[in-house]
Amino acid sequence: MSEAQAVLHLKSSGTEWVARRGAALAQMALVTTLELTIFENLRSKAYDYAVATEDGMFIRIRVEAYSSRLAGVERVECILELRWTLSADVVRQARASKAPVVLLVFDADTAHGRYVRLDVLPAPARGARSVVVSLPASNRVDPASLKCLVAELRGARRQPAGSSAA
Amino acid sequence: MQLLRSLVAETFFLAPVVVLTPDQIGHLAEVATNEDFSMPVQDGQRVLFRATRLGDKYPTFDFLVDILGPDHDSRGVFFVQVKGTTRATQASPRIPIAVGADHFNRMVEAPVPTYLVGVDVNRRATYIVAAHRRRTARVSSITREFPLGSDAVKLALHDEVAEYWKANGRTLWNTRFWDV
Repeated sequence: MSEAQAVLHLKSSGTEWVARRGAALAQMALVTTLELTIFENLRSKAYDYAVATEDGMFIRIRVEAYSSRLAGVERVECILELRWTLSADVVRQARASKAPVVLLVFDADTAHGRYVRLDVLPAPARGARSVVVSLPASNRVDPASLKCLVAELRGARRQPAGSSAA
Repeated sequence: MQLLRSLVAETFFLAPVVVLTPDQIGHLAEVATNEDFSMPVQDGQRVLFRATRLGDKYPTFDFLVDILGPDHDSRGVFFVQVKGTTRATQASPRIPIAVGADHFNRMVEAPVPTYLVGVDVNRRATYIVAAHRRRTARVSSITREFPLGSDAVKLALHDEVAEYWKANGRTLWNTRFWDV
């Protein structure tokens, strides 16, 4: 596989329907992860949804979308690593969040989605205005992977304080 | 688009069978409907609809849907009521949904085009029919003849509503609240 197929840096298509379709796909992904209750965030732009598990854990969800057709990219699902540029403030806010923050990025044309946790990313450099995040092919959005992510986050939450340092 | 739709269905809806609550069925049905309206036609080249969820407190309807022109400007609207079911079988040409006659007739009486969408949530398949004439009996099923995931159905729906608004469109009217 060539370098161009291994890594692709995407950007928002900037059109309303792409954003709207990204939201529709995100809602479908979250709703079909059946143990989640979804709340839309109307208050800030740092994240789009807060989802709650049955045992009361909250996860913040940010949604971004692009159009592979408008970007002229074929078989986006086969690209090993997608990259997405975010405002550094989004990452700073995620790192300061008490709840995990997950970014979902969807292709409006193929419905292919990937995720990455934002709250565990390294701190952006002082004065940085943007951050490039990596979305590996293994982080594909589907009910099974989202359930695994929720289980992983739930497990991390249940660990007693300081256990990771032991 | 059909292939894409089946891929979406495969990704999100063919999970192991679980028992859903009525609220979950309703939510899944609405999300699937919204996703189908948001999907462009003609290989992604044309966006036909913008669906806006009306919220639980809005009576009778679940979505207000704009039909869009080439510049994504609204050319008219229609209302949609969504009903989901987990009892649909692939063998039947109809999917079972329950809409009371009074409720259906309220849809019919709305002064804009109105449609009923039935959703087979197990297979993530959406079907649309018009609510265009009053009934004396409840609706217990709708046909699978008009799948909302089909480009042809979407284009026909867009044309139908566009024709309605062309014939019954907004005219200048005398307002008492004249200002700008």
